Amino acid sequence: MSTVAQENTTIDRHRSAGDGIGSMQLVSFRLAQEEYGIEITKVQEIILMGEITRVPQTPDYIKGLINLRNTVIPIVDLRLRFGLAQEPAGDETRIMVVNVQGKTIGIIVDAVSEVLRISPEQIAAPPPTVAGLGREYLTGLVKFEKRLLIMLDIDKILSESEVTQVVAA
Amino acid sequence: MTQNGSTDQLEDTDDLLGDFLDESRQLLARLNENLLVLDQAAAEVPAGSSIECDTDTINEMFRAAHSIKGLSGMLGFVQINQLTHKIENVFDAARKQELPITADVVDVVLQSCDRLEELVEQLTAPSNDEVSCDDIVARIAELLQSVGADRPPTSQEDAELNLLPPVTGDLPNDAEGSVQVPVTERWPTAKVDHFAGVVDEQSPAKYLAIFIDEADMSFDSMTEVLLSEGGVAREITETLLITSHRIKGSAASIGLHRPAKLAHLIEDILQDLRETGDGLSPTLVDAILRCTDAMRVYVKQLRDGVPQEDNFGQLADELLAAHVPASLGAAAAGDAPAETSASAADSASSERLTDRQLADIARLAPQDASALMGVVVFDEGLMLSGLKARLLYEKLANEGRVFYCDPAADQLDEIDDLRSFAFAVATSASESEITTKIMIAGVARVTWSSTPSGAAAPTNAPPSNAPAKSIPSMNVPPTEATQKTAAVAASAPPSLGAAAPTSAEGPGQPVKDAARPVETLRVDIDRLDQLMNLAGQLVINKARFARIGDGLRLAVPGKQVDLVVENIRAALSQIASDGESSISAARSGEEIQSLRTQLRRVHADVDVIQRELQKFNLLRASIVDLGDAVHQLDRVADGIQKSVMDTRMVPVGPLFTRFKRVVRDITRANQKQVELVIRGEKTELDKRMIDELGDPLIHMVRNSADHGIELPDVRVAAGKSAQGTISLEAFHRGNSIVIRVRDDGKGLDSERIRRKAVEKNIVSQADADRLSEHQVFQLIWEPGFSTAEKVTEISGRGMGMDIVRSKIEQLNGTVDLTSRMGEGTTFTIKLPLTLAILPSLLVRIDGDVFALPLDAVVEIVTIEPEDIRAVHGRSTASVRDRVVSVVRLSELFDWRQGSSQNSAESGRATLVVLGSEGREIGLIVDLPLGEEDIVIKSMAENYRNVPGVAGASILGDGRVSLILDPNALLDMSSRRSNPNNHGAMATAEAY
Repeated sequence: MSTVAQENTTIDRHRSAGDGIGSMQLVSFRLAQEEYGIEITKVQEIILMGEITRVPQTPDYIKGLINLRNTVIPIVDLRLRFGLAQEPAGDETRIMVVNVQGKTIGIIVDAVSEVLRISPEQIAAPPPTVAGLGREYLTGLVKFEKRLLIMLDIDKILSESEVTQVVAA
Repeated sequence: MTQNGSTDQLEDTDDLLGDFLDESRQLLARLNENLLVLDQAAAEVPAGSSIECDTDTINEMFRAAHSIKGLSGMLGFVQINQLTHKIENVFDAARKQELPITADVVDVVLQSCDRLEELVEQLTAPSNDEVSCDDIVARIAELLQSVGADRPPTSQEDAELNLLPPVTGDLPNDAEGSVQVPVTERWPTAKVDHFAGVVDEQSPAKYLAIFIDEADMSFDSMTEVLLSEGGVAREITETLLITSHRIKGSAASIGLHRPAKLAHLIEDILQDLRETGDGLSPTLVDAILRCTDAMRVYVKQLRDGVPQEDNFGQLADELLAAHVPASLGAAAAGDAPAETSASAADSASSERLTDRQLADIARLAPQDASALMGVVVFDEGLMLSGLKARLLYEKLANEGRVFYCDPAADQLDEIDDLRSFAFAVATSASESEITTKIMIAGVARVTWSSTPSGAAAPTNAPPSNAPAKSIPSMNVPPTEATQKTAAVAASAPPSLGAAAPTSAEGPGQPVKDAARPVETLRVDIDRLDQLMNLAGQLVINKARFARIGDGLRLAVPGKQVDLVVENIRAALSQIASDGESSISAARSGEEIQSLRTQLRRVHADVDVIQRELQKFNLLRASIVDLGDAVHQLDRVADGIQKSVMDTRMVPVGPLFTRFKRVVRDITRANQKQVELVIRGEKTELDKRMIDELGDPLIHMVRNSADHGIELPDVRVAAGKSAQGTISLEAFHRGNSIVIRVRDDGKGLDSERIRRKAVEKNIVSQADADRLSEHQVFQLIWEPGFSTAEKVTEISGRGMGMDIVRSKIEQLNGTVDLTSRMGEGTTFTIKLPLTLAILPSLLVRIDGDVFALPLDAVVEIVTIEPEDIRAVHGRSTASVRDRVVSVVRLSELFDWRQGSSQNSAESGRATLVVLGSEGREIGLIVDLPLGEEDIVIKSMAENYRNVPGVAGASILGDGRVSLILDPNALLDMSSRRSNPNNHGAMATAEAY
């Protein structure tokens, strides 16, 4: 298990709190040939795929539960969540452990690329064709060098109703 | 003024706040309990008339209010302070017989207590809703005014508190004009033994342990502050002041008057310093440190149960000597000695019975009873000693007939500066018994005089005889007064011998070896949670070791391999030797030679194999060793788990006692008469469980009191007693704890429930008709069900019962309901002993491993496919002559994720029969894997709860497995059978 994140979080917070211009860091990952980014402060760690215990009465994108150092956390298959075709796990498949509204969940991604530092002006609003789909979790597009990253609001990854359920449960 | 705003005035407020919360909660609980006793009594007398209540109860409540008042004052919680002050006034008036205790009074005080609880709870979770207590304060004032007892702080305790104004930083030298006592009197320079006659009472071991614990912390904090260099003088003084007050309070509350007295002295001095704004002089610091050390030694002796003579008296002198020069200065030097010597003389003269008094007593003494006489001497500078004397008079009157009192009893309260008073009482009690009764705060000592009992000293004997007898012993200096008491007590009749030795050993020896306290330690519950978690992990790992051991044992070849190899070797040798003759006849020498060589080689190889195989013996021995080690680990892990569990166990009593109040409030509101009977309050439950049980139990008790118990006239008409009974009991049953709430009310009306359930679309008419009575009752647990025709304030919002059930199920418990029309209703809650560890049966179903709580497993049977028959569209099997419906997990659960493995469709099936509350289902499993203690992990912590699944657990191999919830499975399977009710499943699936 490789822990990538966390060491920069405090510095990052300081900076963004200190002045309005402050840059932010994204963890970028790949999913079905597209690149996505999640704010680094949300990411707890990145782990390898392991055995997942399936859970009944849940949507298909909830792959099940894993044991993360004696804590049971749910795993969301991001491909299924986004309505993409399911793919068998490959060598690069990883679970990103993120903190969402006080809960810890894992999301399955095709590969984790790197940590990027970007400034707010690099973020553009998502094109209406994407935003119009009611995909509230897509918060923006990031132009980084020649790449285009889709910024995700991880708090909304579990759909509104799903989050309410999580909170209500 | 917001209380929370003022809490940051002190550095160590956080610690103090914790202590304050703890203490005030306990005191409030106690107060509430006593009030309920009074309330009970009030209910038995006609409305408006006052009730008789014993002084001890009132005094205890007074003390509780006073303690909270003192502590809140210290910490600057103005509202709490004001309100408790008012409550205190009520009890003060009550114990002085000025205020008759009526139901109204009890009611107002109960409400005040509620308000206090709110105020106290607000400290933990500051909210914007300011709790106002003006109305309640006004009501109390009204109450007191009505009897003319509302007045400025007058009692001794009030005065004492005024010496300690609330710690508000903005009033640095605020004396609040309260210290009217001449300094000379408070700081007597003359040699006075402050500890003469101050005797500790016997303290209950339980409280002693708490005291010891707290005292140690207080001493540490005091020493630390005293030794700290620099810092603002005033802050140091204030911190010390608070700590010494705390020591004083806790010591006095359990009757340890000697350390209390010493702490009081320290407190007085510090108080004085705070008023003058002076810092502590080095000599004073030394003196206080010595006192702290002495108290520490004293407490240590208490802990060991072997108290020795303390040197508090001497220390007190040193303490005063260290302080007086600084505070009195030159001016006092002139005045003080004269005045104090005068008062000393005064005290000396009044410490024994005068000739005139003795003569009077002799004249008045009854002939037929033994009498005791003596003089009570009060602490110097005690304010309102007259009131104290009056109180003592009452106490003496409780013990026997007081036939002599000087000054006269009815004048006592009017004398403000009484130093001593003489009394004689006709009683069968011994001197030592009475001494303990009247040695209350403020009393310096009691000097006894020889008994002119009817037989020993006839009333008509010349008066001069009595003084002649008593004078020799009464001329002893005050310091020896207690020794004299001891001597008298020792010569008491043998029947009193048991009590006598205690006092004969002199002051400062209250604890016998028998009362040696249990040492306690306060621990943050989060740490215990963590420990519990670790113990759980240990259990998981233990299981893992056991598995590894089993695996190894199977992997190592058995001993027979050695035998086989040995046989081969023997056979080879055979061939080599016998064969030689026959072979040599047929073959050429060259061939024989090569054959021999090969044989030798094979022989050698076999030897090597044999040697290598012998190493397996070592491995086998190691595995046996491992088995032992695992076994040992098993025992240790179980021990740790059990010990951790034990540390978390608390008696259920306090939780139950809360319901007395609930029942009282309800009966007030609905004119019913209900008695709450509590049984098994010593039964212990996990602390977290107790915390979680409060709400569900309140719902049940409310339901019983509001809906269950009928109005008195209805009850009488039905041939029952007018007063209904609700019983709350707790007991162990097997591996569970059962809590039962039972009422003898009207019971549930199954027809009405049926009707209601159909109306509310909870079941279809057809199903409702098919349900048994017991099953009908279970419908009340359904969301949205309430049988109350009229929704009252107390219960019946129609949301109670399903929440009750889910709360209990969250604790892995079950709840059942039985009822009989006209006879009452019983709720039975069954809870596991612990929240965290569950003995369970592991099974494999469709490739996944599931845990089934062992409690619910009735039996495991193997059945042939033809044994499963369809009855009414449902699979059933006959198990030992009873019909059990058979379900597959895949039929109950909606899986949207593919299974990792497909179950092999075999002909024979294993059926695990699960049972709960009289219902049974047979669950088809691929393979039972065995029993294991598993650790329950919450799924809601990071995800949410899932119907049919009680939680998750981590297996020995690190994988997560789901714990099935037998109750939910039973529900799901019965719903499935009901086509009209597919909606329920559909909602469950819609997540």
